[in-house]
Amino acid sequence: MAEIAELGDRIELLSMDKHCLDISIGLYEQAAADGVPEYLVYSYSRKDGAAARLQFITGTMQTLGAMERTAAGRLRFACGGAHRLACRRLFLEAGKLASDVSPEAKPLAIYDKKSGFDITVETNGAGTYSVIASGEGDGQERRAKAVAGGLRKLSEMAETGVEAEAAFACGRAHDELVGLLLPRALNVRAVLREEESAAAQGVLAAPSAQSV
Amino acid sequence: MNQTQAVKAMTSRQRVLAALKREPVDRTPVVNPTSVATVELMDLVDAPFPHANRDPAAMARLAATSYTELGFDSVMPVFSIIQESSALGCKMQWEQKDNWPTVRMSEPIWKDADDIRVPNDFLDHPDIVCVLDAIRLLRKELGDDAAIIGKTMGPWSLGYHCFGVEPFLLMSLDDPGRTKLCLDRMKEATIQFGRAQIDAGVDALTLPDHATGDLVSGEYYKRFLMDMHTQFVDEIPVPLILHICGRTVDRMDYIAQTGMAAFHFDSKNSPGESMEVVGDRISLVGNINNPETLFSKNPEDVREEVISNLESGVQMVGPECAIPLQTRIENLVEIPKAVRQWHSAHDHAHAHTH
Repeated sequence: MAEIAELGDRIELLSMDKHCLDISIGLYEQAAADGVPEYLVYSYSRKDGAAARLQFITGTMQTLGAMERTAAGRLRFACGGAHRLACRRLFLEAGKLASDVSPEAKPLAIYDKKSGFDITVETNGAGTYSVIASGEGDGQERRAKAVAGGLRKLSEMAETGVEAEAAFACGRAHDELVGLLLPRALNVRAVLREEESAAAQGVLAAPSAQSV
Repeated sequence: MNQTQAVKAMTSRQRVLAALKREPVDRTPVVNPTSVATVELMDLVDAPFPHANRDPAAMARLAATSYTELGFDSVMPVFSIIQESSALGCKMQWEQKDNWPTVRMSEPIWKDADDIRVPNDFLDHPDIVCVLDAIRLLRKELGDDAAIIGKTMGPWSLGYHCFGVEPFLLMSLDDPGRTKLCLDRMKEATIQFGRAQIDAGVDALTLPDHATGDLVSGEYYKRFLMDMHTQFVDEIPVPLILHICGRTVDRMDYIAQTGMAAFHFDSKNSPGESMEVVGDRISLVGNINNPETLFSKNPEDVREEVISNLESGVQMVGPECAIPLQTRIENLVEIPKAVRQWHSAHDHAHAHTH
């Protein structure tokens, strides 16, 4: 037994990083001594450039998700919560960026091409976010509810009793995470399709079940 | 229960060879008759697909990780099911690191029994030579420590690849005699490749023959394949591990009569019912579920399935088929870990009751 490390549970994987020699990069979760979940971006590749790529993705997750970095190079949320699903999404989004890009946290507002509305998200500062759709025509309220539903689905946020709202269970603000997830919340079906396709990749089917 | 009492410590190779003969073992071996390659293991030893399917050194490096990194008792360098089909002239799709190479069965190379030809230089084809060289490298590297299992595809699988799935199945319905003739001609590739791997140094061979439970009945197995599989036991002088995916309890009785050393069974068959059918006529190896348990669940779930196999007396434990390439390493290392812990607890309890 040699180089397999005790990294915790792998919760997400980029099986081929097109920005770095097709290496595989995993996101690992492990509880710290104080019980707070921590995340590690790791690759078994020793190719030149792999270490720098891991640093980039870790740094990008810090910026786009307002995560804290420990001395051991792991990431955690200041609130002490896991926010596992949102963290997985954050990791995947960070992996889509080339290493020469300077990542910036995204705003809590976006134009929704599908409805033609401007979507903004307001925070109460205690982890609850309200989605507002504005613009000409009808259906703003329905669209706001749908986007809030998308946010809940993508980040395990809770219902508040108001359909156009979503709330983090930790009761703390995570504006950067919401900004990151907002474009995806506009079309959750596309996200689910992407996930299904990733899950089917790399599964060997018997010849009778192959499609080529 | 597995016979483990009063057996001296064995090497991995000894353990696997004994289990294939249903002889006593010091603990149940952890075996991968198909593939445990993952994208992370490819990175670890710099042997990514498709390169690791076509370059002997990369193939051997990646195969060795099942023993050196995961703690399995065997290694299997033939990750895919396409090496022979490539050598026979099938159109290939080699894919990339995170996907399996496949045969383009929509572009079949044969239509009739008279088209079948195993080339004279079949064993010299680069995709065959790659496997043979990888086996030699593994034997040199691992010596007698780990069991080296090779793979030679059965004629039913080759029929799907070379004729296309639908045409081959339709032929089996319309003209069983001609289908048997085709199988008889294609079996030459199975035998040649199997024997060449024995010469290269394998301890055993997996023989996948995809008469799968979803498309082919138990009676079909008996009619078309049982005698041929019996013949392979004589023609390929090394323990053979038959692999068929899917629900196969309806043909396990026939399979147990072939003389094959082992049957690699799918999680669609419970370990208990399978052991009940085969008795002590053939060893079983399996049957940790791939798509749900190994791919999507946690080590605790893997452990449960390992224990279910051990409690049923399955002779060798391992994944049910080639694992998904994105499988988590922590789930794979749990298999040997759970086997060791189960034996430790079981053997300890056993010692106290005697």
